[in-house]
Amino acid sequence: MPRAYWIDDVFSTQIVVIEPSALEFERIQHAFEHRTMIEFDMEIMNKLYGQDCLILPHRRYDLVTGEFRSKEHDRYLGSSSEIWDAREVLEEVSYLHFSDWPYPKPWSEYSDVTHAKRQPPCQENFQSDEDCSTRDVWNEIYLDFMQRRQVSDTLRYSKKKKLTSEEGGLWFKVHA
Amino acid sequence: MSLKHDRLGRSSDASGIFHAYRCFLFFSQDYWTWSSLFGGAGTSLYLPERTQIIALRMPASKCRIPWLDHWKHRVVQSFDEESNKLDIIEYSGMMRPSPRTLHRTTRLLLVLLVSGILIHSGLYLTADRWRQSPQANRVLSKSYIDAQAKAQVDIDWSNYAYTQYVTDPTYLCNSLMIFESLHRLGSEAGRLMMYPEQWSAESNTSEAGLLRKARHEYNVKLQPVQVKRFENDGSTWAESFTKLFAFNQIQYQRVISLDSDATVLQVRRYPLLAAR
Repeated sequence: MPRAYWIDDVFSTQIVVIEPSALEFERIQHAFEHRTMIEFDMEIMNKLYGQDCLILPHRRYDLVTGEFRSKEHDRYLGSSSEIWDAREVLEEVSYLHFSDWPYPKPWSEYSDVTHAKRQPPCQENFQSDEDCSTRDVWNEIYLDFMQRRQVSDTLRYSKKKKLTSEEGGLWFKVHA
Repeated sequence: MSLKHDRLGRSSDASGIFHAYRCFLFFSQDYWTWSSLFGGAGTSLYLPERTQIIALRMPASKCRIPWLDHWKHRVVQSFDEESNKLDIIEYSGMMRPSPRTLHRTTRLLLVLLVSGILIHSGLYLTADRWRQSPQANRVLSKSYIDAQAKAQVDIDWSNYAYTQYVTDPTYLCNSLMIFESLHRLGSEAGRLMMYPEQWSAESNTSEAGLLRKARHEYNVKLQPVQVKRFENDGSTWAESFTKLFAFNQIQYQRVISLDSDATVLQVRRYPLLAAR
């Protein structure tokens, strides 16, 4: 399991490497049956394996989209000396999870309504120019997902409002 | 030693002896602790013969023991004209001289034993560190890397899989997108989708259509499971218990469980699935 690097001392269950085992499954079922009201899959995994699992490095293996909104990136980068480069980070990572509170999940019908005002702010760099690379990367990520989702929607299953690609493109160009 | 005939230097020599003796006191204190452990001197301290004091004389500068300075030492000095010997008897207010309880040979043996144990354990600990450190810094040899690369070619990918769980049509769509990414990026490992047993892949529902698509286009194995639900709570978190069914897929040696509200951007073949 990787650390849930955006919280302290908890492992994330977004990506888990598991060696299936009947015995371990029994333990999990037992933990599930004796769960408390506040225990979900993540709590159970942390309770059972939090002390002795192998730690997957979160960097390169587990990134959350909220990171692009965050002002501090030390936790993800693992040091305060490295300079954040959204493009580079996106290129090195293999798994990107959509958790971007308060921004809704990208397939949500509210996601297009709140998009413009919820996108990450541009940063001012030392020459007082606006640096919008983080925002651009964030927009690309969501646009990519929406377009792929639309393809799979049109194929067979859709009850939700569809976006044409032109609409999507225009919609994502709206900054601020 | 030089003290015998040097009467003018007596005071400085005496102070040298004084300090040397303070060293010896410190040493004796250790010895005293040990000997009392062996059933010896109790609370008393044995004061050595004066010849020993003279023999132990050393430069005062090398023998400062600050934490003993506050002790009230009493030094008695006398010079015996006939035998040409300097008498110095010193003892602290905290300890009084008493008759010896152990013979000199026994003491010597004890001292040797204790220092032997200390030296041995010291050497052992150091040697242990030496033994470990080269391994930690070992650079992987080329042949080792080649062997690993060869093993990678020989991997039987049917032992490994990416697992997804779905509990509703929205997540089924997300999950299909993850499998599409894995397929497009050329992942060689197996793919397994766990879905609610109430669904049927052969029916006319939209879910069934997506399940069939996963099976045909992306080589996904379909695994019906009994979806766990919380009473009074229909959140995705509650249903994500279903992901723990991955532990029950013992037809695989190792699986990677991925949440489906995400994007797979790269497939790293070697490090995760097949690493030993």
